[in-house]
Amino acid sequence: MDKELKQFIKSVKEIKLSKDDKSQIKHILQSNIFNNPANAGRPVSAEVQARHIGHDLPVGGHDWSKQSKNKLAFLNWNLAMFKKPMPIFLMLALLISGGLSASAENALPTDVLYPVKTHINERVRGWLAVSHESEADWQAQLMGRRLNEAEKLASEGILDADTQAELESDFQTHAEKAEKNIALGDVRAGAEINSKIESSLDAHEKILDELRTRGKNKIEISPLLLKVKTHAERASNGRNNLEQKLNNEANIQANVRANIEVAADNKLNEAQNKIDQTRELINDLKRSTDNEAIVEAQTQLRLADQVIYDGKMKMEAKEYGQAFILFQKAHRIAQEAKLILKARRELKLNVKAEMENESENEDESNHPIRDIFRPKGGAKIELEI
Amino acid sequence: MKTLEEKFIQSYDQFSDAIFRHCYFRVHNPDIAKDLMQDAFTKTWQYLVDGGEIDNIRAFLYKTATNLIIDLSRKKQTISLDTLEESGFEPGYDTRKDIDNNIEVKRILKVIDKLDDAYRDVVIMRYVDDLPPKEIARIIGESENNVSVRIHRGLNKLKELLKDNG
Repeated sequence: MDKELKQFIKSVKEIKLSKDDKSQIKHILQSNIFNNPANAGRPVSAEVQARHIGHDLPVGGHDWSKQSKNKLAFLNWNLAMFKKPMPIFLMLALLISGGLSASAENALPTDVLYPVKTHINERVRGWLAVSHESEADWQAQLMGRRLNEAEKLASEGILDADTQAELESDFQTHAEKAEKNIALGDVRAGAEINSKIESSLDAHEKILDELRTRGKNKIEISPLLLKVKTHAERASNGRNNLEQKLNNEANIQANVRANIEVAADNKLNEAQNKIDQTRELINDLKRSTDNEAIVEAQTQLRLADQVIYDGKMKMEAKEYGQAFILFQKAHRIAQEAKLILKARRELKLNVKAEMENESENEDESNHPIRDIFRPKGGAKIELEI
Repeated sequence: MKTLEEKFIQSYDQFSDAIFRHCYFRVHNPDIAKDLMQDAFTKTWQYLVDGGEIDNIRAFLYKTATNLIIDLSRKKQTISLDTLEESGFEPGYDTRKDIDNNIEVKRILKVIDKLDDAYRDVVIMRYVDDLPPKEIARIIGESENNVSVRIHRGLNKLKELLKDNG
């Protein structure tokens, strides 16, 4: 075999999963094996059991690898770790389910399964975040979870001051961890995660504002709302800075430009997917949601379509950095529309959406494509409730 | 003697990169390729859970992955990275540093894309994944003789392409 061919084959062999990815997927498969053993009733091997359960659960120093394979050994958990006592029958239900509790996933701070959600489910899922980027993304998801919980309680008028303080504190912790990991990770990933945080917090800001307007838990919501606004702005600034950095690098370095071309292509697919998902949600909700909300969401999606079109023009002009920024923008618009629709359905709210206006916080000279972001005629689009 | 779980995880350690590559060269998107690879292993485990027996897990994984790729191309949709619950975000971003930051990968993809599917698969399996022709024949459902001929022709074609693409 000639030298060139040998070199080519050697290069092809280098195309493989990163260590983080390989490890992450391995954990997922091991978790699947634990929950879905090959022979029902036969205990899984000690190694898999120990690997799945891990060593940092607050179980008072158990060494699971030596533990009896009797699943009822879970009863040795220190009950003090729960803020509220867990009835034995619920613990048995958790054991029988063999792992993460699906029923705990929707628990609120006032529910008895809430500690299972935060101390077990979320912790186990956190183990899968082995890179800075995936950790940042997970922390961002946890920010959204705490806000969802606050909103559900507030929509029923039962968000008390203590619970609000705890949720606000947790939200702050997750926000700080997300920011820290974004700073340690890849520039493009950081721009993407900031973008997603921004669209999520923008939607939550509107939801919380609507709840406050209705007079539900007004006093408790206000400090949380302020925190959400602060972090939304931080995410927006972070995103702008990183996008600018990415764009500059793409203009200077050929290899970065090539990579951003691929990234822009992938971002286009993600944005289109998000738009399609939101359209499906609109179709599902047409009968149960008022017409104005549907029209508003459709308007948002039309804007997202337009931004995608503009992004494609940039791709053709080989301006991949700007194309990436535009596709990310389209994703944000569709994401916010989707979150607001879901809030309308789940919390029975009428939440207004606004076009994203980027002129308030940015330097005009840094964004030659700014005009595309402004709604036509310069006015905010606001539908009456 | 190893348990079934241990053997399965060992097969993941051994073959995950090869299955990932197999998917990546078809779909060109590392995240989708990762999903497909994970799905291939998950489905294989489920087959075992359901009582199926596998005498050659590598061949089984390749076939499963290929079927998933075909399903995907029929549906014409991207597979979501839906490993985590959505509470406002898409599931986790991965670094992709090993692929996206390597300019050589683009060159490799350019060359590989020009190979016919039939040649590409057998050449990669033979020279990158080090599978013997007999096993390749099992995976793709052809005779060993046909596979050997295809490998030979595919290799010649690859040499020409490398000359043209420097």
